[in-house]
Amino acid sequence: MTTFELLRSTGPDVARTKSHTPGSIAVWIFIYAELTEFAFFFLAFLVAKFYFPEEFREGPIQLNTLAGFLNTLVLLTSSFCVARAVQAIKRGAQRQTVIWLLCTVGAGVTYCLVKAWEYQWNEARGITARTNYFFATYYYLMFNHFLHVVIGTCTILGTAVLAALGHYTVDSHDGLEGAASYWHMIDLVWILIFPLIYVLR
Amino acid sequence: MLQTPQNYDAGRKKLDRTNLVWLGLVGLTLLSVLVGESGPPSVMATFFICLIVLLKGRWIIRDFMGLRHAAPLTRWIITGYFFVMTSLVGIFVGYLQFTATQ
Repeated sequence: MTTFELLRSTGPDVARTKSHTPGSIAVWIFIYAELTEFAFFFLAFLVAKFYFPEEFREGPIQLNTLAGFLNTLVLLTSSFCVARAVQAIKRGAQRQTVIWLLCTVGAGVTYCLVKAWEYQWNEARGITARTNYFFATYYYLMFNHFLHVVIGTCTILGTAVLAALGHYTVDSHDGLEGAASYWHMIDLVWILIFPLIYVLR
Repeated sequence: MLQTPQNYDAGRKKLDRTNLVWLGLVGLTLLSVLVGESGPPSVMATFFICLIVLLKGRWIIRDFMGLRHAAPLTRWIITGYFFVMTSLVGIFVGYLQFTATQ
């Protein structure tokens, strides 16, 4: 048990079951900071929706819902892949770990390609960030999430290289777990973005 | 460490649950799109979609993130965040839909 877990794990339940928190405390503080940033984006979106109800009523209808739906499936699948990578390293299956991590990277690249198609699709219909307040907040939120996916994809690629070099073992894989937790956070945020932007009207 | 039959079996059991969770998440995503696209916006549809979002978040946090057996504080912070944000979105959108129909 790490120092972080010793600090956090108090109470009678801990004595009965073995507690394990993936990653390190630094990663979790970073994840909470990122979530706070997204919370402000969500609040800004809701406030804008309150002040410009007409634009926020008409805006989602003009969006490419298929692109949003496809990216939801891609991110859910990427989370599945990275979860399997963590399970594989816990079994000491190094080759499988690398394969699952590369699948996650593939999913991250696919997300970016779908997003590029969506932006092109918008542009072909004359939709830009300056169209109205809905599309301004849409692009702001989407581009921010897109940046997180790019950073996450690069991080997972880095862990794949390290895993291939034998850096992670059954007993020592905090870095891999931290990167995986960050990736899951990106997926978690998208789960809320998808209905907020595309589905709830 | 060598892959022994014991830890290989343990891995297989976890993989089975991971498969089911992934299928469940995909199914719930389809369901939320169907509900959202099937008719005019309504408070009931918003409530139902938010319930789906909460369930999806719970599965990701507990099963994919692996926080099911994590230190309670770590799990509560992220679970609480997701519950509060989803509820806020649901209440806000539901309120706007309700006032628009009055």
